[in-house]
Amino acid sequence: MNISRRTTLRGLAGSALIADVAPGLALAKAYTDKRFVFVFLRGGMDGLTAVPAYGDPEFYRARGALADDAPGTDSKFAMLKLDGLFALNPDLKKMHAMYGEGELAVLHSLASPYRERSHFDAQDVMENGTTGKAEKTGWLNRALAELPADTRATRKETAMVIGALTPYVMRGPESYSSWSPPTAPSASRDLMDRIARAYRPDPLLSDSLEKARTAADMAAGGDMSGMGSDRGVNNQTFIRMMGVAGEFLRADAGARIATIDYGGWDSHAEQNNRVDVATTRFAGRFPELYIGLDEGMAKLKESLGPAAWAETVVLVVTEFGRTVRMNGTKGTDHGTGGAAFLAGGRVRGGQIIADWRGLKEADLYEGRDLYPTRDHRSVFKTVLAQHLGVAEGPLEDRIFPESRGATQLSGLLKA
Amino acid sequence: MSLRDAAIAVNRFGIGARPGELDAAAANPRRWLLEQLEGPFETPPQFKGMASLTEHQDAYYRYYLVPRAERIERKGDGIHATHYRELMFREIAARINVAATTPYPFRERLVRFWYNHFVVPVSKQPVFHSVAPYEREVIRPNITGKFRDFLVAVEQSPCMIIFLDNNVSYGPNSEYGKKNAVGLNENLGREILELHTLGVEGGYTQEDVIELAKGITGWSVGHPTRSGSVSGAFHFYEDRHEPGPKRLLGKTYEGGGVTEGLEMLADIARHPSTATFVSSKLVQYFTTDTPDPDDVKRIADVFRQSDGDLMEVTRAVVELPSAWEAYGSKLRQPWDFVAAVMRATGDTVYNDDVKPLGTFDLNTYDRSNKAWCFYAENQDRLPKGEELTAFIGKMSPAEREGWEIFVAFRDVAVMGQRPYYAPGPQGWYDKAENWGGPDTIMKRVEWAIGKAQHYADRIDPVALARATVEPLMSKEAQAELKAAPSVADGLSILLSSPAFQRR
Repeated sequence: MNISRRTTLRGLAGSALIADVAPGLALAKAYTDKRFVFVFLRGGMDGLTAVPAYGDPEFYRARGALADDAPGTDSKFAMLKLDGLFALNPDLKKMHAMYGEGELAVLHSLASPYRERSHFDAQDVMENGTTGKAEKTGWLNRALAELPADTRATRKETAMVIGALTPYVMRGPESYSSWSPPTAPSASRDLMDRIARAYRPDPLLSDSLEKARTAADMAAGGDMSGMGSDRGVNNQTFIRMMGVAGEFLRADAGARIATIDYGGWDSHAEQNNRVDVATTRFAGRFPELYIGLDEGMAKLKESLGPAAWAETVVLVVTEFGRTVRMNGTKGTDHGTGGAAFLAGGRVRGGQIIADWRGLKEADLYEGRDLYPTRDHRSVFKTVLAQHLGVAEGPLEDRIFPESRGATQLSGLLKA
Repeated sequence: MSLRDAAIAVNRFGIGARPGELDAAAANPRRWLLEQLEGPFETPPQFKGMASLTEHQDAYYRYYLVPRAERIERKGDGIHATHYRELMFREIAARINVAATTPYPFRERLVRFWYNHFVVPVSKQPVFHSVAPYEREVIRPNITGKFRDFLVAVEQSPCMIIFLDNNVSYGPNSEYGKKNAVGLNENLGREILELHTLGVEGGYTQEDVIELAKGITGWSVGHPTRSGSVSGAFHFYEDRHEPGPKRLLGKTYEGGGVTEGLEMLADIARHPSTATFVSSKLVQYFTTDTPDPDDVKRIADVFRQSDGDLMEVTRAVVELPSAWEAYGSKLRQPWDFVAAVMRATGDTVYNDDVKPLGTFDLNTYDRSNKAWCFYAENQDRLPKGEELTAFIGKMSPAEREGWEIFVAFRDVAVMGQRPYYAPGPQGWYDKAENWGGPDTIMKRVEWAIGKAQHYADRIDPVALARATVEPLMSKEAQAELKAAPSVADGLSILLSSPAFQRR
């Protein structure tokens, strides 16, 4: 997709926005260029499979058959060393390279304020940004209302949901658009025009259809061919969506915030069933998820291009971590503390943020889960304030009420 | 009576017109609706042969009584998951066929409403297999009865009990609770008050939640290992029931036993907030997204005066003048949109001949039967375009059945409403803004265009419009329909038109 500034202006010329666009673009370079991609790994990614603490004296004993080969071993399944304590999952090769290039930071032992172990409640609390279930809007939707005026004035739509369903984090009164891969061969422009005219008397449907058509045009204009390898599993959809997110966010007048869901992480059984992809096209159910995550991150970077990537923060979170020890079905059960990733040109990468308590039973939460030592909201707040320019007042009062204890992190983003 | 009133009856209260239905309703639209509710309850024929909730629950327990190693040796691990999946898909396909063919569409809409009000979504493994039977057995027969009886049937259903953790709620001072040092789980108690009866602003406190939870301790499910219980059916465990008096909403209950909870439910069902909460949801469901408070009050009064007689309450909703005005404020939920198109076109899943699936017996369920769910597991690998047509053409009858079941499920899911997978105990949302986002609207249009190609050789769009939604179409949409350059385009415009999306 190539939307140059000139064609964008022409494209918007008929709309009432045109008056705002020119001065907005002239300002440029403030917060209006900042991009944020929020990736939610649903199901509860096992933090110790994603980011194994191989240097912890208890690690191999606690993990048993779940532990991959030690870093440096001559093995296709050797963990990828980060420092003396932590490594990355063997399938996160591209993310490991990003770490080395200072574009990926790793966070460990995080949890939302929620301490039970239900997927749905845990996701809800994490996405509504509070400590309970009462709040019905998502924190990212509330944040849209608090973005600097320039950010919103210079574009038709600031936020994009990549996927058919709006995640809780984006629900609320603030406007957003959405896109997911088309299910049918696309209709002719002529037919779509006819349908759009039939929609005119209906403002909601008309507006939604117009937004969706714009989104579809942008997606179709991008390079949608050669979407990764042909292993034909669901992770291909995620990789594709990451590419499309990059297309939406790259354009000067494109969206600035995107959310993407990536499900399937609930690894109760056969979690580390690995197959060598050189001999088969399928690496194993959970390894495929990591490969998808890895390739998806690379795809997003490629699709954004260097200039937009330099202005981007990608946050990858999951609702909770999992039990430290393996269960009876070679998997792990719902736990508490987990891992998260922060990537992008704006991230001060190559560092690990973790107050590590250790894996001895006495150091675990309720004797079974990784002990949570940091609230996710401290990371959310850091990104909103330091990257997207949300002011402290609304951040504390409206977006994350009752979160004073979850303080922002310094040194996580580039100045 | 005007044709417009008939169209409102058929589209707003019904699911959408089958050919001829508009004419049938035209003589007396209100009467046409109420007659659908007056006969005795009958299970729709599509559900005949499906196993009961209790049978499923019992089979589930028995499956997990077999030691794991033995389970795997006999059939391989995960067979329960395979089974429930096939079961769910078949139940969903049958339910679509009911919606597509039923002569009682108003009844079907009420089933959707009440299932959503007392929703159990497919959300945790022990209820996967019982959600659809729960709707068939607990929701369907009760939609025109007394609210109090309905409430008891719901809260004593193993499906609801397990979904909201009442099977792991123990009186801390009960015999069992003291011996095992376990206590209360207030999940079901809370949701009864918040979601099923009084509503979140209905005037109860955290103390009331706890007291109600205490009152229903011991309400659980019979198990093969528990003597004196029917495995898979409701069972009251006296030894888990919290002893002593409980004080709920200002009234003291001290009878003990299962009756204590029943008395509590009877009183909650009669609480004025319950009448208001339930009425406001019903009025919103059938009239507009922002119901008139006077309408809600009128229905709530009927609810109170009739002691929660849902036949009376439903009749009053049909008779609300506003229900016959301001047409089109409601957006059809994806399920209803798909059903409306199927009714209009006479389409069904696998010629309305989806086979039922019995309970899961470890010794007889054959893993090789799962050919049908291959499609679901390999969506990204399926051929496309003309290759897909050839692929479908080569299917055996069993594969074809599996294919159509899968496609029916996928079509609704892709518009954002995976059947039976409501987002939580609060159910699906019921406002246009929740269902009218850009991507879901585009998915509806794409789906309508796909269907239009499929029907273009046998359906005339102008005649179909006349038989279904013409009185409700805007001038613009009618003009586009008439100007369409091809039959397929005309059908695309009709099936995706606001008149088909709204009610």
